[in-house]
Amino acid sequence: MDRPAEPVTTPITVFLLDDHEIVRRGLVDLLESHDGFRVVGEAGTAAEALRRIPTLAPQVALLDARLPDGSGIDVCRDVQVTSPGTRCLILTSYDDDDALFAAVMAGASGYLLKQIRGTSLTEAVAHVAAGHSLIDPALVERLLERIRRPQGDGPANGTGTHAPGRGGPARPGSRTDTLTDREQEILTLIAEGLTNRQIGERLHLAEKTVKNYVSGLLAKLGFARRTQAAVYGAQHGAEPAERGERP
Amino acid sequence: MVERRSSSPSPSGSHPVGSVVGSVGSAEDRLRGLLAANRSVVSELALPAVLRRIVEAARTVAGARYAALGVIGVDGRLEQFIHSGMDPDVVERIGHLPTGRGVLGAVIEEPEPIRLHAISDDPRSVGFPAGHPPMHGFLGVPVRSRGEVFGNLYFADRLDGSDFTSDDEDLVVALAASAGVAIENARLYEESRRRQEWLRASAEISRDLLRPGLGDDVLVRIADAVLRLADADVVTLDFPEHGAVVPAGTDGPLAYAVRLVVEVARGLGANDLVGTSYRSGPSLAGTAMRERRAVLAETPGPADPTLASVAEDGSGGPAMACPLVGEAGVRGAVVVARRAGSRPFTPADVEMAEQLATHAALALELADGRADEERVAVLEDRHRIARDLHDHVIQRIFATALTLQAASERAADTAVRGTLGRAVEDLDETIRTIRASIFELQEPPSSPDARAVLLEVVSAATAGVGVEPTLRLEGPVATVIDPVLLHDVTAVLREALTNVVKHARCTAVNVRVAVTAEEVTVEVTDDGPATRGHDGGPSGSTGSTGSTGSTDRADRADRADRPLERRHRGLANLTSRARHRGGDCTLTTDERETVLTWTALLSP
Repeated sequence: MDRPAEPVTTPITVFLLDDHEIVRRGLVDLLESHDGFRVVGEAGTAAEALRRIPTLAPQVALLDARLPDGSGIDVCRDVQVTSPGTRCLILTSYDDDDALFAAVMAGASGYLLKQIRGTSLTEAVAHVAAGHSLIDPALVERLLERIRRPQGDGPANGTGTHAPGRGGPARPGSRTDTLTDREQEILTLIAEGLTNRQIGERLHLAEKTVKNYVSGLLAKLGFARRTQAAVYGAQHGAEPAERGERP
Repeated sequence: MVERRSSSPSPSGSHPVGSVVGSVGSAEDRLRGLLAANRSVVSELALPAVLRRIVEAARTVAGARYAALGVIGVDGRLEQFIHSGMDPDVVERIGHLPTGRGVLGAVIEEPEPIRLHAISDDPRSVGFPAGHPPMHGFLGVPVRSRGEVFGNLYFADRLDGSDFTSDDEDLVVALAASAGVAIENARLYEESRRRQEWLRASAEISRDLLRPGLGDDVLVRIADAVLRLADADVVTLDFPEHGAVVPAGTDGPLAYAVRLVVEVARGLGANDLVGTSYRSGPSLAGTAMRERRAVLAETPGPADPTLASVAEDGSGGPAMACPLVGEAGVRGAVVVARRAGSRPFTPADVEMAEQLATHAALALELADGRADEERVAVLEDRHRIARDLHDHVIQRIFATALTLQAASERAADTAVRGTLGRAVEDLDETIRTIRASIFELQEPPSSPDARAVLLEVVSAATAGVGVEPTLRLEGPVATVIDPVLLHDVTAVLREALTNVVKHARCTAVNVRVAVTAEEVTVEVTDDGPATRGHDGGPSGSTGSTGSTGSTDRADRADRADRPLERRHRGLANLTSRARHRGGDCTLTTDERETVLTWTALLSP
């Protein structure tokens, strides 16, 4: 997934998108304590980031996966079109599985868990700025396989567990979240690192249509459960994971 | 009292019926007497009182010393025998009431009036029991109600000692017709009264249903209502074992084999019945559930424990069972029984039991709905907690750790660096723990997700041994570990943890499952002492059943003490699993801890 390496200018310019100001401050603290990095802009919402990133054209954008007005995934996919020179890293406090899924869906160069040790944040940013990807293609292959596995334990989880009461109705453990052919096709192109525009050209679809497909895929594959769904659940007072509907 | 007035002359005009007893009187007097008797009979509504009045009035009208009304039961015998004119002492001396044999039976067999000069002369007579006063003249007429023979009026010994006349017979037949109407009225009245009572009970139960938190009490109340309204001796609510549901249209051996359990019982032997399980196949409840309709049995077999409890000498009483039909299928049955020898259930009884069974089924559905709601509430709550942990707690800790990390990198003093570094480490560990909690909070317990499975295996293997395990997952575990590999990994974890729990006197177990794109590593670390067993093995030994890349392992293994060897035997199995996947399994131990490391390559 590596893109042609561009000359790495120092310091590396970074844009931060996280709705927690305290996190942004911490990130600024850490990055600016190194000579090689300069935070050129910050945003707390997806809308603000989408407005500012194209003008600032940072080398790297650190995008929180979950935002009050959207997801870092959507922002990342938009940024690839509006600011092709910007490499994105998805920042998330969920675990590796969800983070990997988010990064692949976003077409990001990698993901960073919100923890300090492990992958060094500065190294990761520098690596990505140099045009490399942090995502092992073998893992992407496994991820796709896992999603496509018919009865597999992909991120989608539509199994409603129903404790057997006295003769209570036993719901069959059915998985209704299987992907359509078109969704499969788009998922493959996403995994190849194509932008929404490229996918649209390839499949003769409007970019907006591709965008809708991506949102649908995210919801269907249960990424919603851990990210937007939390917001969705709060707004709708329902358990979205059981529905598999788009927020 | 009546007897004492038996010789008084009969005054004419309107007078109490009883006062004509003792004389036969003129035709006009007798007609008047009949009219009075009719009035008397139809003025009462409760069936027992009606029957009593019929007997008294009939005795007066017939001018007989003895009169009785025999009510015919289902078996064609006399179910009740209401008599008048016999001294209570004499009744007690005889001991039992007639059951409908001999001449009394003749009227049952052929419902036509019978008039005899002397009972004993009749070939059908079977004689009188000891202590029975002599009876000579006899008159018997059937009483019909709703087109069926309800019973017979019997008379013995005309007051003036002569034989019963055809006039007597005509009068008594006329009275029997009114008696039939009175009986019908009484029955209708009783039925409407019961219906009213049943409606009241239904309304009460409906109210109960809508009141949350009553739980199984509703079922108990329903059972009580059925017991009372059906005039039953025992009522139970039976359900399939393990909460199975007999789906609509299920028949054949599957539904037949289901076992039923008595969950609610009221009435005779209720305490012993609760919890009894039986085969649904041959039972009344099973039949009702399979056929989805109320089933009646007059002499049921012993299959239903409910029925066995009211049986006498192996023969049961009347019984019925109604299915509890829910949305997803038949959920159970209400079984209602009367003591052996009781009158059978009427269609009204069945209708009532069916309606209350509907209530019971509804109660169960509502309880399910409430349970679902509660589950959803719990899930929502868990999601909210997870969200809060994610949105607030982790972000703050992470931000603090970032700041500390930045400070550490700026710090010139190595000691300060070290301290800050350790603080960052601690915060990282905290984030990891919280992340695991978030996962647990959001993942349903029986999820097929590899992460959830590993969590479950680790906590199950160490349950109840006072060791709190920690599980650390590194890398996209759920993505990399496919079901086949997961099978191996869980087997390894179980084996390793069982060994730790059995052989190591440890207080902490840390499990680490790490994946990369190439391999998976399982590491089980316990703080059990390295010196094990009584013979005190040497510390610092490294054991491995594998030999690859190791020159001195065999040597060290020789020095290993016995408990460690025992662990090794379990290890052989783990090693072969690892080898099969191009990996290895090693066990290292020192004073502080014992570490089992199992690796496997991912299939390309």
